[in-house]
Amino acid sequence: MKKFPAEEFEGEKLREKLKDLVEMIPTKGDNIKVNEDKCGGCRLCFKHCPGGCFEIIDGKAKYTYPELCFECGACVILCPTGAIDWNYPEGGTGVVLRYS
Amino acid sequence: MTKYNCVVVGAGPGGSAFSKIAVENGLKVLMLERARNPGEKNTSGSTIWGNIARKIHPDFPADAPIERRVDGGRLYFVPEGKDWEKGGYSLVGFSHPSKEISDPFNVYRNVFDKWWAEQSVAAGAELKTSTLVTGVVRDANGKIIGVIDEKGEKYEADIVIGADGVLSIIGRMAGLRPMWGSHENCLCCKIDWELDEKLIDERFGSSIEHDDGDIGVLLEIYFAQPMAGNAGYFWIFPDRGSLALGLGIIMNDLIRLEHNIWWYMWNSINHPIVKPKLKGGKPRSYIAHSIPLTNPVGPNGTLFKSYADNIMLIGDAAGFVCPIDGAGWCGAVSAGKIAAEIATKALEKGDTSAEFFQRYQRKWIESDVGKNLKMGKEMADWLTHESGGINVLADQFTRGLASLMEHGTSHEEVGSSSINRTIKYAQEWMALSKPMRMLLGPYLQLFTSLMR
Repeated sequence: MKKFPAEEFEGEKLREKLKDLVEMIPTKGDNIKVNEDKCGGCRLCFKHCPGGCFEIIDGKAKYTYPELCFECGACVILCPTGAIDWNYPEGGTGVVLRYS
Repeated sequence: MTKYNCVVVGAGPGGSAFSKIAVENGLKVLMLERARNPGEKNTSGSTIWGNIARKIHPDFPADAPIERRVDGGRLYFVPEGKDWEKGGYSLVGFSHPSKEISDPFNVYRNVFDKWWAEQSVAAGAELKTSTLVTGVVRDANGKIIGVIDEKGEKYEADIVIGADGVLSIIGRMAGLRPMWGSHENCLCCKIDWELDEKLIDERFGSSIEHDDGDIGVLLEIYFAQPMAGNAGYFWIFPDRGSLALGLGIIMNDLIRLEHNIWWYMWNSINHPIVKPKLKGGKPRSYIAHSIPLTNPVGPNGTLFKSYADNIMLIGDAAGFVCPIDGAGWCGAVSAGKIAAEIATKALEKGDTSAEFFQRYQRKWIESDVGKNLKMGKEMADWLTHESGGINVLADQFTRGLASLMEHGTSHEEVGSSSINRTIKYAQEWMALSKPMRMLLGPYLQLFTSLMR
């Protein structure tokens, strides 16, 4: 069985894959913040955020692409140093289901 | 400011179930929902059970927006490194035999949850949507007496119900639970896969004939190393014009594994066993969320506390999700009903203290909620620690169960001594563990009936 390269499902490439089929009610995107002093640069949020919302710059995580945030909490749950300040987006905004 | 008997944070299946029963009992209830419509942020396999729904709506499924009747399912155990196309996997069928035991339906949760909440509103509950609760209101003694939304509006109530999901703000503010950790959360992603209804009937239709001529479907569940890395499962739950394709992996295992959730999803939908079943269709939408796998019943009877003064937690907020299959809808609805009954009694007595709400905990532990959590945990532990994992299980099933199934289809050619041997074999397997008893039980019945 052919296996896919990991890079296909991270960062820009993941966002490209998902963006047309994820419905978002526009939101400010300031509900999630990374505390750079606490960030250890482990890349877990970058790798596992299912919306590809994070990037790593100079060894620190940044929440740069809120457009595909699924509000799943994976980033804050996975972060080993407690560097992520996490809240839901404001009421009536954010991700919604298109169908089922 | 209006004071309510109950403010329910979250208008999902549990919150709405609570509200319907509570208003029927004469309580004044407000539901607060952060989405524009209940259910529109949901990530779910989307199978709901009619027998549980009837606890809240006795005439269910009349008028309910359901997609498909579910008649049973197929359970696949797919080991690593086998030639799948030549049958290097095991397949176990299961059925949902009676209306009393389950009576499952597949639904579109954004449609269904909206309808479910509307029934509670029709019964007299208030619903305020697009409202994110960000904090609690406390009295001079520090007891929670209401909640506050992001705009600063306060809502006071005798009882606050935390039905606000896996990341529950109410549960955390009440000090009942933390943000659960990576070993207690499963990350799930889901694809809504558009597929022609006829193809769905051909590929997933059951052979059961229904009175109304409708075709029910079979769910498919894959415990598969190549799909979920031995740490979760991939599912196909058919609807009317689409399939719900989902994958869940425990977050701790994701850290250990080489790839992320979408990588496993792509490998699942392109797996040689799965791909032909999706042919002719295409993805319509993507979504992802966390599911709690906290085992609130506790490994040694240490109980998660689901209540405090003026507070009860229900649904995902309380971790009422079966540890083996990740199903939370039934637990949320059942617990919602129990909490509503306790709330009614508490207000009659004028006692909403934690001491009074111990009754809630006792009741849900004794109910189907607690029983499923306990059994699910037992099965999950067995699967992950004692069975030797999916590879061993798949081998066992290939050699043992598959032969049972073959005999089942061609029993006329099999002498009675052979059937006797098969029954003995099955009994030995069943003695091994509870999951084996569950899986093999129906087959054993079949063989025993063949002997008569």
